Amino acid sequence: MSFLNATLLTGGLAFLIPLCIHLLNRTRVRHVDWGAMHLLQAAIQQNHRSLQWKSWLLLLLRCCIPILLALCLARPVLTSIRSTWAQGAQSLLFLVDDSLSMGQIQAQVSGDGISFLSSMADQCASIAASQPDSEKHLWTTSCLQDARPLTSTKDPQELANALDQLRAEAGSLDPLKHLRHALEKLTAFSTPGRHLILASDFRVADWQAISDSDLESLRSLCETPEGPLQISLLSLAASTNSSNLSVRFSSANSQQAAPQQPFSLTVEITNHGSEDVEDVPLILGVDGQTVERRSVDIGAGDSRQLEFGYEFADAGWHYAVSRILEPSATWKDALDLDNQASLAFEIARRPRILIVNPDRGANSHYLELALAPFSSQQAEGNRYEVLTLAPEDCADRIRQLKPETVVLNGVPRLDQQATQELREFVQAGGGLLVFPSSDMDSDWYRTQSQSLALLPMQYGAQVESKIEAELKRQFFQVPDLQVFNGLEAGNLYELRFSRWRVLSPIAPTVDEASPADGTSSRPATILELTDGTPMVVSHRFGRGIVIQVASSLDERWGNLPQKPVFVPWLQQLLQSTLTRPDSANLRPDESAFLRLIDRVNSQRQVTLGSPRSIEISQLPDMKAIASRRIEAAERSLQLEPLKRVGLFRLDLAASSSENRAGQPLSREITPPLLSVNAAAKESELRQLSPQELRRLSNRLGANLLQSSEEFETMLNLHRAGREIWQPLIAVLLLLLFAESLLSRSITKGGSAA
Amino acid sequence: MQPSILSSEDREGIAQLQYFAKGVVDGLTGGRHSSPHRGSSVEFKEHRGYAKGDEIKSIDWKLFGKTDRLFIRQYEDETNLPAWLLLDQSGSMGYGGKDPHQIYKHQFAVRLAACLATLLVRQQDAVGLATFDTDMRATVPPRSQLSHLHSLLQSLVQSKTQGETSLSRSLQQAAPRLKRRGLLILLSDCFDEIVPFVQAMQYFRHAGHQVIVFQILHRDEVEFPFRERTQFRSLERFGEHTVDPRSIRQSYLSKFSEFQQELLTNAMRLQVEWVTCTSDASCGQLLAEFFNTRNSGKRGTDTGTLRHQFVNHRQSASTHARADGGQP
Repeated sequence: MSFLNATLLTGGLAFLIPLCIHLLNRTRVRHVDWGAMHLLQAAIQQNHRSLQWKSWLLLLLRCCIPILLALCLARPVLTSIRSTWAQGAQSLLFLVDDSLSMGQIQAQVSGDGISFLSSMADQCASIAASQPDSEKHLWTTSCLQDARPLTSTKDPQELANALDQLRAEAGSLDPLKHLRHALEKLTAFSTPGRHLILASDFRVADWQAISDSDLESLRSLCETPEGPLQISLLSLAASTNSSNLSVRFSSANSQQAAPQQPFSLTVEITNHGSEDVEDVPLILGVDGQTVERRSVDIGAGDSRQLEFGYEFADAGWHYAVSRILEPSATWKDALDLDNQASLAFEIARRPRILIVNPDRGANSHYLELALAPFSSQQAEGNRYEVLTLAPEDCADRIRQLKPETVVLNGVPRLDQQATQELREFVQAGGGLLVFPSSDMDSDWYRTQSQSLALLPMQYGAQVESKIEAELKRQFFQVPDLQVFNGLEAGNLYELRFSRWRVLSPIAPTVDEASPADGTSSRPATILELTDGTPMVVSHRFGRGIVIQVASSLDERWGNLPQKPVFVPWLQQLLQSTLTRPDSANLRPDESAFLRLIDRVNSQRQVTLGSPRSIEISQLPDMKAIASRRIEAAERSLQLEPLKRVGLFRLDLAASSSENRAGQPLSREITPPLLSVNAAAKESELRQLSPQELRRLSNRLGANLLQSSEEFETMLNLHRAGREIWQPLIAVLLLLLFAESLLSRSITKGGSAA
Repeated sequence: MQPSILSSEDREGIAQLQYFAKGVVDGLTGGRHSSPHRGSSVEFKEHRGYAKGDEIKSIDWKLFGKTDRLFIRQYEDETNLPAWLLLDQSGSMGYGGKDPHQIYKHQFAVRLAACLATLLVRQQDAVGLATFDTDMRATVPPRSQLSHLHSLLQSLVQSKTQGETSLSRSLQQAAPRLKRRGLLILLSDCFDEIVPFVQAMQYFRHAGHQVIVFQILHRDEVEFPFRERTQFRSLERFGEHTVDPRSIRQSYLSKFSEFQQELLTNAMRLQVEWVTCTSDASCGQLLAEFFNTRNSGKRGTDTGTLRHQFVNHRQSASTHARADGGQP
């Protein structure tokens, strides 16, 4: 501790004054010869003890008051909180949350709503302006994966300009991931003072999943050999208007839709506020045309689902937009960015199934019969379009026929090209159903399961059981198999198995790099025998679903193809592979995975060596927002996250020279439409309470800032220390008050009782 | 020649007073006090029939001649009042306060006793005097002659404060000396244990005596006005205490109030006339107020009614206080 006016400390000697007065009073005693001594003595006995300690306490208070006054006048400064990092140059990393929820109205200025993002941008600009000599780096949560920040400068104005450009349309804030990335970037700075300023709306939906251990791990990242990293949480007062409506498409199974058939779209509208709303106008548009308008009443915190029916004339990609019209006087909406939802989908032909069979006609007969029972004259009545081919044709046919699912029916192995094609096919969203056989190549299958992680489990030894095994009775949670929870679709438990291949989980290997190009989920057992042996397992590979069966369709392995339940069972399994994640409907921070498909019947096919690009335009005005260069040999590609909500169209474009030459395009892109909608939790606007925010900052070891001035105050505190005369004045006033009370109490002689 | 312990103001006040006894007391000499005893006197009252045993000399022979029946003449007898002045000269009566112009409680009691003695003797009442602290000290038997006043005043002049207070023992010692029903006037601060004191007063009341208590206090004892750190030394027996007077003032006043309340309650119960006064009051005004108040009651029947007065020296007049109060 140091003092700004140390000489005034000598004033503390004034404590001698009350002490001397006290001593003088004690020595100067007046003598009185008293008659009513018995009354006096009774009064003294009643109050003797309390008076004694009260008088000593009073003396102590009176001595403390001048000492404290001298301390205040000397202006003490707590130097213990000075930090070395604050003495040198400073680097400020502004991490601005540009998620959709930051677009909510934070305040009203002159009738216009100011969004959280705008307010945050102002505060960040003020902080930057107060630190003109510091390095300033601006990142948003959506661009944190990028190598370079949005801007990196010492000029506060440049930073302010960059802040003005921000739009609240990106994906959700992932506090753990984003803070970790930001701290890693901050660690690379070389200045003594390194600050991460997180400007966010600190919604409960973002932070509720963050545990104390996560915060501890983040806090540990702040401790670096070069000095501590400083985290500041910039939070603004909560919006006065917390009512919010949101709309989203809750279901649209495009795989089952076909031209000229009824197609239903379900729109879910949610009232996130605390008051009921009435007559909310909602419109549905399809392919840019308004098709229906409805009004709906929704209770507070409630959701309503509205089903719209529509019939598409043609196959192909379409889009639907659902939008809440402008708020009326009866209800307000704090966040209007979630008042519109879009959906891109394909009205497709019948699902095409490729059956890869080593010897056509043998076991595939059961498959073909089960999936396409009608003959060629009545083929339109079949649910699936089934094609059977040999393994050697697999690679070309997958590429050309664009099937929805491939069935490997006892295929011993595939060549390298077909294997690669199959992996890309599944990764891009295709389905794969695998049946084993006696002569399958164990090494090839082991490679697919263990190294490439395409298959959920590893095929092991073939088991022959003299007692036919039955399926374990269970209640199916998988939606496509729930029909077997009753007996309407057939009795699964009449199936018997005498042979099967053991499906064993894949042991984790040191080389875990194999599924790098496609994330694979943990395998799930769909069906198992009574002894727990897995019979049907599945997992997700990339965007596709792989189902692996332990038994063959050969009648020597069991009675599977001979039982009536075989047909619905197989169709439902295939349906499971078809209901794969929608690749056309994304979140702002998700990457679109595209497939480039050659036109097989093109008469003017050009060489694939020509450079091309994908142009991305926003609907409905077709405003170009980005382009992605592609190499000719690329058949699938991953787009960078679009970082904004909306509906986008993808077009393949030739290079400018090719366009001039008028060369035709020989490839098409799937999907050609992308719909980007915010996550549902972005509509949950409830913010952390001040207590929760304080607790969060404490756990994180962060500074909690309510305004830009507090940042400067904090920095000055660490530079110069803290003056503590104000709390001392408060204590002094408290002492004076206590002295007055005590003095009065003594004068009154305590209770007269 | 009387000692000059009476101020001219006191004498003037005394001269204006007329004391009328309230009760019927035994007396031997005529006066203004009516007596229930019939005897030889100059003022005829009534006749009554002769009864066996009556003295022959009291028969009204003239009336016998007229009526041929024997009547006895009865005369109204006027008595003097045998009064005892009991003066407390214990140490506590020696308090006089810090103001040199104020008189001590004992000094005030002596003046008051002198006033009363003069008044009673002028009315030809027999007045006795006894001074006491822990025991009876000087005693002057009751006489009604004017020359007796000299003895009384002389005894008062010679009274000096000393020792502790024992009201009960002193009253017990005085009891055998009051052979006839009469008036007992106690001049004291009553700073003693209440229960024995009350018992002693009870004895006198049961014996048919009128009891008047002049409780003489000092203004300091009533208001406790001390502010500086003070060492209080007992004038009697309780040693000394050094205290900050402001810190115990409330508590002291509370104890004082309780003490007074208990005294007054007992006085009311025993039908003792009680006058509380401070030593800075005027004796003449005090007595004037007292007797005016006393005479305003029903004569002959209210002898036992409590009269409580508390004299406010600042108003230089005695002021009536509530009989159940006693607060200054």
